[in-house]
Amino acid sequence: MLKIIRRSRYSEKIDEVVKELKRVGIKVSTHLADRIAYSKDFNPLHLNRLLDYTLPALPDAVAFPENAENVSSIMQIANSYSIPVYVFGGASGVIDGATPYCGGIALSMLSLGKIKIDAERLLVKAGAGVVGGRLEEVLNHKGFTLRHSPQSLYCSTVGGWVATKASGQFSTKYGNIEDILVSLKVVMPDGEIIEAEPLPRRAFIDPNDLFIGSEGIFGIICEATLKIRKIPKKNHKIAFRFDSMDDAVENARKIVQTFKPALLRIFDRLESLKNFNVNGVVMIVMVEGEMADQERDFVLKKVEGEFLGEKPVDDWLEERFNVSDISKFVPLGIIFDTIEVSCSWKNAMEVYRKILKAIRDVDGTLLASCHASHFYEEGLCFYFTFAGVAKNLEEYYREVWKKAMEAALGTASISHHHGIGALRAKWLPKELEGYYLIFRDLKTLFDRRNILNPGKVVDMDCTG
Amino acid sequence: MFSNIKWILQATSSSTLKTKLSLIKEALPKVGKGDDIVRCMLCPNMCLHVCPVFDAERRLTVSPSVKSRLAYFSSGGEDVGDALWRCLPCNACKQACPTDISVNENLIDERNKICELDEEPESVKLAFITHESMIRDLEKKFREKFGEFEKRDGKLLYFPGCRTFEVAEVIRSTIKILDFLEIDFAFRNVLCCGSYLKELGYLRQFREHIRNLKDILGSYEGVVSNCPHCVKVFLKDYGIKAIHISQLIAGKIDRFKVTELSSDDPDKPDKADKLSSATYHDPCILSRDLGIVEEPRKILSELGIKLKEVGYNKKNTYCCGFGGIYPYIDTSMASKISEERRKQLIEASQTILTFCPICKKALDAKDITEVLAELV
Repeated sequence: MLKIIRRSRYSEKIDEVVKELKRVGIKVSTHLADRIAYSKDFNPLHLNRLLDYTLPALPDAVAFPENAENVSSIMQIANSYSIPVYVFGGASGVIDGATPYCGGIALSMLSLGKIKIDAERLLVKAGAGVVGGRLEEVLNHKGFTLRHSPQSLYCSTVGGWVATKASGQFSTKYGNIEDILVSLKVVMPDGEIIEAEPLPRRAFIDPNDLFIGSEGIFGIICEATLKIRKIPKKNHKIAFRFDSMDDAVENARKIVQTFKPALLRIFDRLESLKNFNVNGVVMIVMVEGEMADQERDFVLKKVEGEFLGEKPVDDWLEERFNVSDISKFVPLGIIFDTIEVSCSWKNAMEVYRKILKAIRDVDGTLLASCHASHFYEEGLCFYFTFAGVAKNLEEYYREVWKKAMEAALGTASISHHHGIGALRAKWLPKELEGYYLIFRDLKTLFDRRNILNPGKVVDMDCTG
Repeated sequence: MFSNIKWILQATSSSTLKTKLSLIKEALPKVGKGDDIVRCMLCPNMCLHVCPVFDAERRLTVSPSVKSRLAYFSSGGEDVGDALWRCLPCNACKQACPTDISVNENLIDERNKICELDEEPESVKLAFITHESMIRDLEKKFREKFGEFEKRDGKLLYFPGCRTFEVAEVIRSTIKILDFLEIDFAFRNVLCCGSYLKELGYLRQFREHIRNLKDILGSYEGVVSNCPHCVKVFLKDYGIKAIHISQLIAGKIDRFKVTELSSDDPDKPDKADKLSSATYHDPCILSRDLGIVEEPRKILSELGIKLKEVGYNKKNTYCCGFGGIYPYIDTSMASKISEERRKQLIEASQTILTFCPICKKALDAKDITEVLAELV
């Protein structure tokens, strides 16, 4: 019954590789159950295929390292056989960033699961395989929080956050993962282990910058030291209704160019109706910490919208991790996905309208909506949601992405925080222009045999 | 989302007629097709952070959503080994799931299909044999001497549960308490509720077990047990009245008040003093399935024991690792879970109390019945 779209090119070598891995004490499996478990990420195309017992790819083996030294040994062996290695955290990414299209080894980072809290320096050292929700709970039990809260918190990992340059629901105040990250332990493609001390700042190019958002193509993140903070004791929640997205966005600009609320989101008419049963555009704000009273007063005084109280904020907080709609859509043969981009205030509404129109114009689109989810002094992130139905779902899906990316290029980034993977790789050269070749060169320099996550980000070979 | 008609109409208002027709043609015939296995496998694993089996094994293969994926592929004819049995009845996934899906309960039907074809993995067959031999040993003990316990008759059946016999001090304590409370209770040689048969997927044998036992159990006014598994299965699968011992005690806790007991007998040391503080481990089934969270706390409070709560508590408890069939499938992984849980509990207090014989044994804890028995 099992169907595989792209078969491995390395199946003939795998017995020897597995034998070698076992010889140096690495846990490795070639059992079908493990290979199915590490066959894909959470890209929506894979979900619709699953119903038909179809997988996009299948690794030849799954390796389960327990520490950086194990990862190093695996990379040395993989190099000696020139066999691909695909790095897996929680496999919750949506941009086809981990799917092992070439075959080879799926590297499960989940056993690197240690957590060490340094209350004096307000730091936590976490293994790459630590699941976000677990980390946050462990911190909460001791009165701390990361305040890094992506919607995938409960199923994504620390290594995955860094590798995909993740962003959380409270990023407007506390920053994205790059602002929370202090230092890394990384295994390079040739097996060398490198580690930086967690210092507040240092001169020269920050070594972290080589790996934040690198999506596993430059090295394998094994451990991250992150900033933690005490759980804020005080907060205020406020919601407003506006007649238009334009008004809401302009009011958001006024707020974030004065101070950064912990939470700020704007939902277009369709999402406001769905989430809050409100006709209009809803903005939710949450301020917290020592300055919460003053920040609330500012918001109440300056925001020109209809006051809705705190209920919409509570409703959203209650439902913010509920992604069960996907499980309802897919069995109906409907494909469902999200596209997030960032842009400046100057052309924000142009980007919003252009991308929404591009998605809606594709034949098969059932719905397209948007919310603004992350805010900066200079601009914001728009997060589009679409669902469609078509005889050929893949064709429809790829057309939506093509139109949306073409609409974004030139006025917005092609991604804010979901990453590039295989899905967006073809638009990256246009976005990065001259820098693209530099990154390609770096990839060649770091990974001469192109064995680490081949087919992703800067490599068009062997993709889905 | 489908309940909000206003939203659906607005959402689809801008789609073309062709798209709307596609929706009717492609989607409508599929309404109601996805079951819980499908819904679960389409989730990105939003309960991964609470799954103790994943936490111990650290591989996606045994994570909740992937186990559902494997069950789906298994139903399509693939051999996925024993992954479908690597699960605990803790329902941590259900507690975290917005659509209330219990992965373990979902997997039982697929396990059953495999068992009916006699294609279950060796580890499953071995788990069955291990449990059966434990029951046979107990039956033998009962035949020879009825253990140390006296057979008796009464209105309410005291059914310790097979795993409680592994910690016989809990049975001793419970009998002492039931006598102290002047409960008219029966005690007899019925040992196992059969829940392990259900968990393993031997549903035919489980139904037969129920048939054999239901008449005996049904002849009493109700059943009281130390084992949350037994209570759950009696309520859900047998359809008979059953309560956990904590419920019975909580309703009569006044009788155990330390002041009354100690003032009546000046020679008797006030034993509750020795246990001035402790932490409490909420057994998964007791807290999540039976909703018994406050009763144990009420009992401890009435006894004057200061409760030092552990981070994972009440319905957000953390499994001891030894419930259901998982310890028979992989003892070392079950032990890894219990070690992790014990570490969490010890951070709160060196004294660990619980209300389940399985958790007691796994965590080297004291059952609350033992604390109470010392007082009477």
